[in-house]
Amino acid sequence: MNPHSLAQRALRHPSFVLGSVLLCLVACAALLSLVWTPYALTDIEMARKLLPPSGSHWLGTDALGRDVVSLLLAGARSSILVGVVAVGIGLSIGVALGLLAAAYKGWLEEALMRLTDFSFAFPAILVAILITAVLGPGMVNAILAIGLFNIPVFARITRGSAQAIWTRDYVLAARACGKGRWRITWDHVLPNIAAVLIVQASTQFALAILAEAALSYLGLGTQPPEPSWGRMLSEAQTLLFQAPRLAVFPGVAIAVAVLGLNLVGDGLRDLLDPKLSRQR
Amino acid sequence: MSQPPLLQLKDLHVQVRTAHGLVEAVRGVSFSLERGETVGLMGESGCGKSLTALALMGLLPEGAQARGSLQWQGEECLTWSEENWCKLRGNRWAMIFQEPMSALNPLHTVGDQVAEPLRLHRGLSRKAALSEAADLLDRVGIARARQRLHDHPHQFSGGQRQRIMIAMALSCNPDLLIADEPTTALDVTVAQRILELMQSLVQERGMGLLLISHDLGVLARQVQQLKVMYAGQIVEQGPTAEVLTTPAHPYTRGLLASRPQWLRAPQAASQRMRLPTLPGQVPELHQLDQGCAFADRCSLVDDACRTSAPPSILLSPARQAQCWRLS
Amino acid sequence: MMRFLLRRSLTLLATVLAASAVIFAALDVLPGNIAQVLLGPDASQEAVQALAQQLGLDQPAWQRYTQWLGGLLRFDLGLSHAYGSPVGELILERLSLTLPLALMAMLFTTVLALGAGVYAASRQHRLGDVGVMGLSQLGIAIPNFWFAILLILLFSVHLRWFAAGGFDGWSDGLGAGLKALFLPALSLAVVQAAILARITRSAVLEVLREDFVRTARAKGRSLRGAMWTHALRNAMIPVVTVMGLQFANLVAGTVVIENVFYLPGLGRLIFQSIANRDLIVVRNGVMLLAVMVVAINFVVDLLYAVIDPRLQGRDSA
Repeated sequence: MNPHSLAQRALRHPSFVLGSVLLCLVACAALLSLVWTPYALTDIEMARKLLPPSGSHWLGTDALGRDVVSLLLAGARSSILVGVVAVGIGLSIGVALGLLAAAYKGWLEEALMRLTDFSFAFPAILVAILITAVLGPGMVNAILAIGLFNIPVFARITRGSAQAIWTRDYVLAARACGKGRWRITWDHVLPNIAAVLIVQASTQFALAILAEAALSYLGLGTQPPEPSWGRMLSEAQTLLFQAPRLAVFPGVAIAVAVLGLNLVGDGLRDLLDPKLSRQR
Repeated sequence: MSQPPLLQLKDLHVQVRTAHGLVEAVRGVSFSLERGETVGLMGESGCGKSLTALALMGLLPEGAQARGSLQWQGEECLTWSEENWCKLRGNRWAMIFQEPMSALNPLHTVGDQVAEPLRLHRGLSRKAALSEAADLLDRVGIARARQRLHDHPHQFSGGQRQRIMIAMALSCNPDLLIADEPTTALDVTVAQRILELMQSLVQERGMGLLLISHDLGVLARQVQQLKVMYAGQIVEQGPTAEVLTTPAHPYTRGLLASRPQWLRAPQAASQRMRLPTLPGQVPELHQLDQGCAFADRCSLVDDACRTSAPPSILLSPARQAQCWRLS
Repeated sequence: MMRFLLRRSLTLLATVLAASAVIFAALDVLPGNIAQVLLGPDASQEAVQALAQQLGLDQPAWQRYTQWLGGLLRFDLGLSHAYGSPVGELILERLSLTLPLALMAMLFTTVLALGAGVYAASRQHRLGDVGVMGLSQLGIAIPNFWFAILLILLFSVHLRWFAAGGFDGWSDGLGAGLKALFLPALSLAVVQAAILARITRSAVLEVLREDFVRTARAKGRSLRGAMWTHALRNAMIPVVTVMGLQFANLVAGTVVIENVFYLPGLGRLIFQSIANRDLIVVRNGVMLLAVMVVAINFVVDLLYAVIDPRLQGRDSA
């Protein structure tokens, strides 16, 4: 596939463009917060608590007098970190398992399929809650939990797509030439399923952000002093009558991040679909 | 006092959306069909015959547009509302399709599907419609029709499913049956029986028949009039026997010549001969320009053929062909 | 049909058994000495020993596992450490809230999603379709607990139509109970409905392209008529699959939503028990949730066979 024409088509795809813009916003916020935020996160001043939006505090302050904009910027860090690492775990282990299953078939594949089918009976958020409950709250455990329930997702989709590739004629030809399973997987299977995996990864990233937010909301995820959008919402709920606006901003942030990822994923799916790319 | 023909099509053009933009897939097709007449429309895949048939039913796919004149018993149809079309589809005209498996709803019983037009157009109750459906299924040769009303399509063979389609199409006694490649998906022996069934039913009821196929063998004995289509146009038409024995258009001649020799002259089988074929390929629709569409493959081509489209030459009262070399 | 049922029932049992093994392993084997965990790090060795013996922790794991399974079958689920009451009673009490909540949410989801999906499919590429698709994108992107908070903000804080949380039980009548569950069910439903609407739409569009829809139109059905009589039932096959998965998500979502609305349901019980380290309650509660999810998937499989006669095993002629 011609990368130049791909870039051109990408720029004309409305979902992809909008999604990328939103994602960039979130990514920039996260990166920016590493070096600068309007106010320090530890800048607690009770006299300034619960201020409405103003020139000095664009979105106001929270119950501890901290600047909301700074908290939102920093919250992006946690969400992205958890998302990237958790999806990374799921991707690396899941894809490896899926490729193995498709390449070696037999009992390995059967076992893997039973396992993944079984794990789909357990809703993801429940698994995450259980794991963080058993291991204790915290960002690391949240990452492990979310990563864990990503593994069967990637394993299944990898195995499904890889299986289809294994039946293709060019793979049969390669095997007839004496190419080993490992080489075939690396040379033929992986490049052809890459598109599907990329699209799935963006979906899973979005789900990971939502899961992290839910866990933090429940107090099981990112712990203080690390900022988190989910926890901001939980704090805001207690102040719903006094400062309702505090409940709006973190939610919008989460929605922007997830929407961006979903739109990019949809766009990528359209752009990377081999059926479409063959049209001259 | 002559009645208007059952069907009169004048200068039908159908535009479709393709990867290359808007393309004309049907480029000026005209013919008429009298009551009780059987007409065959022959051509390779992509020549526009199916689109023509769908246009006749008002069932063009999304994105396709038709213009021209279509008259049903003197009434102009192309401008009709969808509501009007619905009243007549399945009622005064009916159509059967190529793939009987996918053309039948797998989740509905066969009885309900055959009864559907009866309930829609005649307002019959479910019970009455099913009873008539059983009779219809019996007429088309489905054994134990009454018991099998409650079976689903996947419980029947391909030939039986096509019979069911025919039963469905004929339920409201239409004046015209359009059959689009009805036997292409069937085995040769089964196909033969289906064609015979259609013939007898059409004759029995005095219906008109428009039979569409790419297979000369299918059309040779089934239709009175034969129209040959190429690249969206009818290039030759006339009584079937005449067209097949004395083809006028180079395309028709090429098609007939490419049938294996031994079918016509068994004694020639012992001689080793190359099978004559038509050189080249059907042109891409978006690449056609002013000349004759067959020009690149024609052995008789000259300059006139490439510069302008050939007119329709009347070879005899009932025969026409579109070729410069015939004038 | 009977063979189909039998096979599915066996799979159901196997899955439930496997689930119980995993839950047991996760909660009883991994964290180590439960008695220690329950009593805290400051407890004396004798106290820990005594509790361990009382809880039967000195027995090997597999024995405890089979004991637990036996108890499940007899509905003897043990005693809750935090509440001091039998776990069985506790769970049943909480279930009387969570089950209606999940069902209500499923009802909202189905009605919203099917309606929106079919509407969008019938208005493909026009404003109605774009609007529904846009809304559904938003619906998928928002966390359900945030939507819940926004609902509270609008309906409880501003409009004061509903309470901001809490549930007084069914003793005050069906109406009062349902009212308390309305906002929670709605917040659970919105996200799932957004997903289901998209799936419904594409399933309907897919089916509309099928040959048999063209046949139906050739018989004289209008496009709309063909959609309702022919397309929908066929489109339901992929839709029902997703609905089954969604119920699992709904049930899991109750854990979070019950916390938002302070509802004394099963989800909240599990959550609080986790905080209390009341692992017996957690174990049984999670087991029940798993059984509910598996049972729903079983029902979905059965529905398939009802919707699609090809699965009923009658051979072709």
